Amino acid sequence: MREITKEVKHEVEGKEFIFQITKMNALKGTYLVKFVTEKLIPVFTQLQGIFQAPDKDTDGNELSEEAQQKIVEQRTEEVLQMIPKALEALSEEELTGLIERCLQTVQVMMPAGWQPVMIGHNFGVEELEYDIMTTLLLCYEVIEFNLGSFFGGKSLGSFLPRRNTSK
Amino acid sequence: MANKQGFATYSLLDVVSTINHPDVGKFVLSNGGGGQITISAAGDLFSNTKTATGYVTINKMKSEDGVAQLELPNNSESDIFMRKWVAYLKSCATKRSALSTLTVFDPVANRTITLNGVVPQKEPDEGYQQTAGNRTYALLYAEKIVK
Repeated sequence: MREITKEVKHEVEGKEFIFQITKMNALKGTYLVKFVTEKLIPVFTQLQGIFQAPDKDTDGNELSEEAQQKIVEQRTEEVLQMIPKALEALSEEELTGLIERCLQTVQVMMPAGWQPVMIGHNFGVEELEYDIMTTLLLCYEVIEFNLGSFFGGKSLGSFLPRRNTSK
Repeated sequence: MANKQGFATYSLLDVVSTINHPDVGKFVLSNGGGGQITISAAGDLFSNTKTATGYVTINKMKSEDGVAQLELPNNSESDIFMRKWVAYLKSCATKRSALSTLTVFDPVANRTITLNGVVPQKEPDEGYQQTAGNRTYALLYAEKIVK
């Protein structure tokens, strides 16, 4: 059977939630393709590799775990400095439009059953409404899940920075 | 709110009513086809105790609980969410059943009414007629906060 859903787990306010992403249909997905190729790839190529700590230093010597950790910390700072630059390329409407479109395809498992994360322009779950990090992570996963096959069947790995996704 | 000419303005369409339960989710009822909302306090705030000679003592009392009535169109998104909410409250652990809040925000008056501890008093009436009717949800609340 064709797989059009994917489940991911994220922690929100110390509680683990299971999210289900449903693939967009081709028409809705086209918007995403347009958006990603136009706006996001230039941003992501700048960010590429920044999250991945190198095993060896410039002289080819093995790096200790501590040193790797240090590099990651330095790079996190770099990322934080780059965020305003990255967001500059997007207008506010484009950004909210993208986030809403992405989150409208995501459901979350609540004790009462599946609940859409976004209903129209409103959040369907209170915990997420004030959690910027998880919101952005979900958007990232929606884009990766939808467009993974679009870029040569591999993944967006060549364009998007690598991240440990708990599945 | 009165403007310079002395008119007041009011619009039910501007009022945003939201129901939230941490286990069910959050739903903006006014976006999913809301109707009218009536919030009635249950108890008295003051009463008089009168002696045979006519001496009156004024009793000041506390009462924050009451009844809220929601009118929602049959089969609207709001109705479907409320059905799920009622069904969950019937089956969930008792401890989790009093966690719902209903918020009514009137942007014209800049006034927010928050009802805490909202539970359904009973299931709404079911009816199938030629055309869609409205379903009335009778809710009980434990506390009302107005800001």
